[in-house]
Amino acid sequence: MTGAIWNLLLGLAWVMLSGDFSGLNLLVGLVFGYITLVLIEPQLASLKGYPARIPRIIGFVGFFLKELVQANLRVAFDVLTPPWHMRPGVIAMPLNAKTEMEITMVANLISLTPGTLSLDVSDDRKVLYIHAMFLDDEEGLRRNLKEMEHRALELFADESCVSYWSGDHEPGASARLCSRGARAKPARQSGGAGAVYNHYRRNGGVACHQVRRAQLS
Amino acid sequence: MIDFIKGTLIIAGSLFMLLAAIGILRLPDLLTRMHATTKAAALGVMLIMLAAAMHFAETSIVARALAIVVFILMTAPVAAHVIGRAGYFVGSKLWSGTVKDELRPNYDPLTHELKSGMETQENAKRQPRDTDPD
Repeated sequence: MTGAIWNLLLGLAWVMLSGDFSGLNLLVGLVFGYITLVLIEPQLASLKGYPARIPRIIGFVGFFLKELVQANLRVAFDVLTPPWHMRPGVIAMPLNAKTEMEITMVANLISLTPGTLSLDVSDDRKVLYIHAMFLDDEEGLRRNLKEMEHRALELFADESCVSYWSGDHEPGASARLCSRGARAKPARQSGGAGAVYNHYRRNGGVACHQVRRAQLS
Repeated sequence: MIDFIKGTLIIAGSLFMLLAAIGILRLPDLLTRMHATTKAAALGVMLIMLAAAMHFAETSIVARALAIVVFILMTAPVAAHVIGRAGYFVGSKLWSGTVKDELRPNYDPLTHELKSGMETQENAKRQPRDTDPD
């Protein structure tokens, strides 16, 4: 948040000083402000994680647009051709998102991609019920939804820990892991969290569950 | 060249909107209709707004076109979710070709309680402890 405000201030300063009050010039100012923030990031703790966030947001928007167009074409094909190819159904997706804000965002994104529509979230906030239009490849659909959720949660990642879900592990099992910004802090003190994360990536989640269990007991 | 791109965008956008209309007429039940209308229409508006922004290429119009796209993207899924949810719980029939429904067994129509279905799984996995009552 601090990073975004500073970026905006730098952009406005650029517009003021150059004296050209147009939208394009503001954009140029924002880009230069961003480059400045990238350069001074290592010296300021409050900027931590901000530069990494922008490419992640752009990557997410690209991924999302691709999904949107692809799925729209599929629905279009089914609407236009006489026989029904669709196999609709309601599936339950275990949620990794914890806070209301995260759940709202994930549910909205799922509703926005054609082919899936979020119906309701269970009372204990653990499962999201989704109406899907094409259930012929249910595993693939679940994997896609999980990937979208993971990418959406990454956008919030520097504030809180991300829950990471491994597709090849037992379904529903989740491990809360700190990624990027939040991970850096404990790593400096104990050298532990970052190593655990990499270890986790290599071993498909098994190691992390053990570590997590050890922390709990 | 730019005219060609603009024309393509507008035609594609209106085709998606036409598709939403055909979808409303053809699709068999409420939930599948929600699929067709909200998203195809949102994509259609996005494409047309993009073409408008490219055509006028002025800051004020580009900003407004972007604002329209953002607000459509924010409101369309909420509307789809609320209408679909209300329709489902009021009891509109699902299409006969629906393959599975994991929500129905977890929903209690009297108390309006919606379970996650994870309670039993977690209970099954839970290890017995010394402090458990027999």
